[in-house]
Amino acid sequence: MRVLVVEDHAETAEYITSSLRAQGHAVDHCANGRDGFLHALDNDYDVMVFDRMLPGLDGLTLIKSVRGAGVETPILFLSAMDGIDDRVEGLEAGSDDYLVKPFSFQELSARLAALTRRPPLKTEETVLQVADLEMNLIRRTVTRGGVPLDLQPREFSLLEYLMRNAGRVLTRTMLLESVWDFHFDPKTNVVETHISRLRNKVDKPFATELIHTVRGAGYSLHG
Amino acid sequence: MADMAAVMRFLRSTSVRLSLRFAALYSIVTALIFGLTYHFADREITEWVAQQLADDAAGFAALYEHEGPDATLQKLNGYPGFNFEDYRIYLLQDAKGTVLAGNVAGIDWQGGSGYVPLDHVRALHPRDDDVAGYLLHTVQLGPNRLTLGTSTYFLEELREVLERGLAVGFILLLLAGLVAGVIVGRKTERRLAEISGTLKSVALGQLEARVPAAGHEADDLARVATEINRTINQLQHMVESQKQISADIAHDLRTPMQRLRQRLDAIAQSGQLSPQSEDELAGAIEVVDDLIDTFHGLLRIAEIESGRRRERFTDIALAPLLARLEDAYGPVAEENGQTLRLTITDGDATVHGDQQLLTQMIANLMENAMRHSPSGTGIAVTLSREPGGVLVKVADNGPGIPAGEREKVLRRFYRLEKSRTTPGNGLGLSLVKAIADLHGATVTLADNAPGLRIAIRFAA
Repeated sequence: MRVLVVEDHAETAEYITSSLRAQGHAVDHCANGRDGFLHALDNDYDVMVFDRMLPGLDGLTLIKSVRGAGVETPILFLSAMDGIDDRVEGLEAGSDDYLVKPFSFQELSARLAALTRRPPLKTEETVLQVADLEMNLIRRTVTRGGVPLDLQPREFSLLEYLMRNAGRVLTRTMLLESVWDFHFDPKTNVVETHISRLRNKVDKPFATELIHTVRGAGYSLHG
Repeated sequence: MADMAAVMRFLRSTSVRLSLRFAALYSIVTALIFGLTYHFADREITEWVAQQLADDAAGFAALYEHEGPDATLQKLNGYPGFNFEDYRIYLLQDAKGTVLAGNVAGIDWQGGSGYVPLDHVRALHPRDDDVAGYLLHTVQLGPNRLTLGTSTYFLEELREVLERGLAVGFILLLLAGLVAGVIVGRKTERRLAEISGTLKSVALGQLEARVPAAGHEADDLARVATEINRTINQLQHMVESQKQISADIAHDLRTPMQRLRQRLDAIAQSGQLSPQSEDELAGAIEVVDDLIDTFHGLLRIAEIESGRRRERFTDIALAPLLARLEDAYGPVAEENGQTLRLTITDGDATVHGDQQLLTQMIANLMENAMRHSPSGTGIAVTLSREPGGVLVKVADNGPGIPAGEREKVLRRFYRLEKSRTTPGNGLGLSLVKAIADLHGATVTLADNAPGLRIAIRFAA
């Protein structure tokens, strides 16, 4: 995918761009907000990464300007501040996700992947399907290979999120934010426990695993 | 009954007590002044009347000397004031006491000048009941003796007028004093309430609270208010600079931390490590992540303490929030061989606050109970209403915290000796305290006999 990174801090920019390139992505880098704005208008990116503090044009203004110019490319907002207000301000300005420095590359990479939207028509889906796993969003039922699975409401939400992002790596933090709306780091194994319970129902009785652990990164659902 | 209590509280307040005491003192002094006024006025009028009598008598004496007895008698009998015998009397007697002329039958009087009550004067006609007595003056006219008298009737009238005037004046003054006292008292009361309210807010950690300026008044209360505000300014400045220092340190160390994390990441991704080195590296990354986590915690506390999040407060229903937490942590407790039970006695309880922070606060309390208790522990979370607010309790029957250390665990980085081996950064309960403070809620730690019970009380 094509990624625009607007980050003035040289070392962080290098870390992000080289890691993304190593994954095979095409990356453009701008060191200030003004260049970032022009790049965002002139090119067709799959996803953009904006830093909060930029010379020339700060991150928040950059997001507003880009959105004001009609660009709808997903934006991930980076901040060195653990400001919860910062996060809200970023989302309100028009960014799609938010990441606090310092972050691991796995976290960034997983979030960028989740942001690059697949072709539309997703929104009106009523049935999700991954391999022989099928979820009916209207009836709220799940079957695997035709066998009905009895899921608790929260297990259903967790599986729905995994299925909607099938094939992508979802980090622990992403699961906490999306499934539980927890914007903090729990000190207990909340995610691990719920994933393990879900596996007992979705994977254990069957021959092949669908929920995979990605070491050092998170989880991924795929056939 | 509540009104009665309010009245009693009002009466007990310093300013009202002062104003009542002042009114009492004021009325004593006023009564004294009025008493003296009455006394002197009465004496002055009496003396004036007596002088008039003496002057009249001297006039008749002079007449007698110059024009003889007949002219004097004629003048006496024709004197206009004597027509009203109730008002002025006269009696001319010879040396034996025989009455020669007069408008009364007789007077029991030795002579000289003075006062006799009514019954000493024998009247010719029935008299007005209002007359109490007469002021008399006797003068010698040759062999005869003339006694002139003035009824004290008008003196009493005057006294009555004076008394009534003074009494009404006294009551009016007293009322005015009381009303003024109450008005001043209430105003003072209000200003004292503002001062005590401000100090209460400051004690709750709202260091931006200030005593409102009292218009353009420059009295002692305004001076006290100014001093208090100056003190809070100083306190706020000190607290802020202290917080700023720890936030600055955390913030400044973040960039090198990010670089360290990035470099370790780069090594991990190089794919040229022996399995042993890979494990070592994973351990190192874990340590860095713990450090980063601690800095996150510190900065988060600093952000919460700044109070900025209050601007985003909304009404949060606690029952669904707790249910969501139970849903998340119930299975974790089960996995640990513990039980997590949620009891909601007031399903409609709401607090004005921040959804995310409240979630984190209660999650921290639940995790705290789970992490510091062995398998088999029961954790009870309750939501209830109590007079004056909403109560959230997280109680466990685990090992608990010794009484002397209970309050200390709310401090940053404070960890009990026995918990040092449990992973954690010692910030969990400080964060709980910071979030509770932001919401104006109190945190109390108590013995659950056995175990620990932490109560968060939100004011209604």
